[in-house]
Amino acid sequence: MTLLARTRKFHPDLPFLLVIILPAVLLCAFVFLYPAFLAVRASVLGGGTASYQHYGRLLKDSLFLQSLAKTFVFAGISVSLEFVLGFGIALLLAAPMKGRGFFRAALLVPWVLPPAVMGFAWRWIFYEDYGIINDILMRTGLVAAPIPFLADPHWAFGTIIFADMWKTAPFVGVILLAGLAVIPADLYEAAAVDGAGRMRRFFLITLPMLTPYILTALLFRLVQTIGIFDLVWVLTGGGPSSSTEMVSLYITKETFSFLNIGYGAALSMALFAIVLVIAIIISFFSRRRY
Amino acid sequence: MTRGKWLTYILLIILVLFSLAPFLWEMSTSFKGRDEVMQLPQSALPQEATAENYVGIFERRPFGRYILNSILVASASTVLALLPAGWRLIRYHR
Repeated sequence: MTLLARTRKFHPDLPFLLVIILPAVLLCAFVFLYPAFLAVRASVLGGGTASYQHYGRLLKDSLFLQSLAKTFVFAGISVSLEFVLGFGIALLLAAPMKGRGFFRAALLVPWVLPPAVMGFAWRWIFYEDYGIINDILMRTGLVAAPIPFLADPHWAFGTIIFADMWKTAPFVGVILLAGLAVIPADLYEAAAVDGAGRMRRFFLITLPMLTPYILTALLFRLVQTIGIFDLVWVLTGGGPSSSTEMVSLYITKETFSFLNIGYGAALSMALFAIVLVIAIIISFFSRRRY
Repeated sequence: MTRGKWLTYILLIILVLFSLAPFLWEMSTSFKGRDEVMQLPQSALPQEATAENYVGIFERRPFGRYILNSILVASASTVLALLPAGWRLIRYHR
């Protein structure tokens, strides 16, 4: 039996499927697996011999744990707000209407623009002295003195959440919109005939039918938000006084500013494990139902 | 139009303004001269529109080269990612 015939026994399309995923696998091997292997090696090699000292240190590193907690709070608030706004966008765009194409395109603009570029735009808008927001607030007399949106630890965190929400709510919206589009209309008709009101139809049809899409959107958003780097880096650089130092910024600082390569690699491994666990939990939920 | 439709349009227009505002502000700022950028109160549109910023990025930096780099990377990676799959797809359906 040839190799090809043998592979066909598993799945009729197996050779086809293998070739289809080949580019992705190769890409992963070059840009992810190989660096990941180097990182694992660096994280356990302390002074030439293999040791786990980096991992022991990591659990007692209060700065790391603080940045991790900060990242989780940030991800929690940010993803919740994005989800609500994105759901709103999806529901508004689902109904057929005039100008739907325009609204879809216009609402997708924040997601399409590069994060670093829009980070600079927001930094300029929230700038304390010449920023447009402070200018408007001062001119309308709402505030007596300019608000230090990015220079004050109390404000900076919220400002970053706002910018992140602006950028990624459309992404949630697009995914949920795709989910809304495949719900058959006769389900709603049948429910209406049975006397279900708007609210009941939403909770009994829309929400359950949308669950896999909701979980997909949440998975993508949570994983991306926990690893957030570019937006925070451009807006505050982790400051003021480390109030917005997310875990990826802490790892970068530890690795490239203090040149603790081994320790930085161990930190990356820990973050990778955390993200993996979150991804597994969400995937588990989405498998069980469907 | 029904009341619900009106509400939908009003909400959508608010969302569109919210989505586009930072981008439009960035665009307006890009046409302002150096002094006008740092001037209070800020004006919505540039009072003396100038293209000097756009000329400047090409004069002070090899911006054309940057654009070319991006296009090269984007097109090469797209082609490389699609090539094996596309080839197999053609063979498969023969």
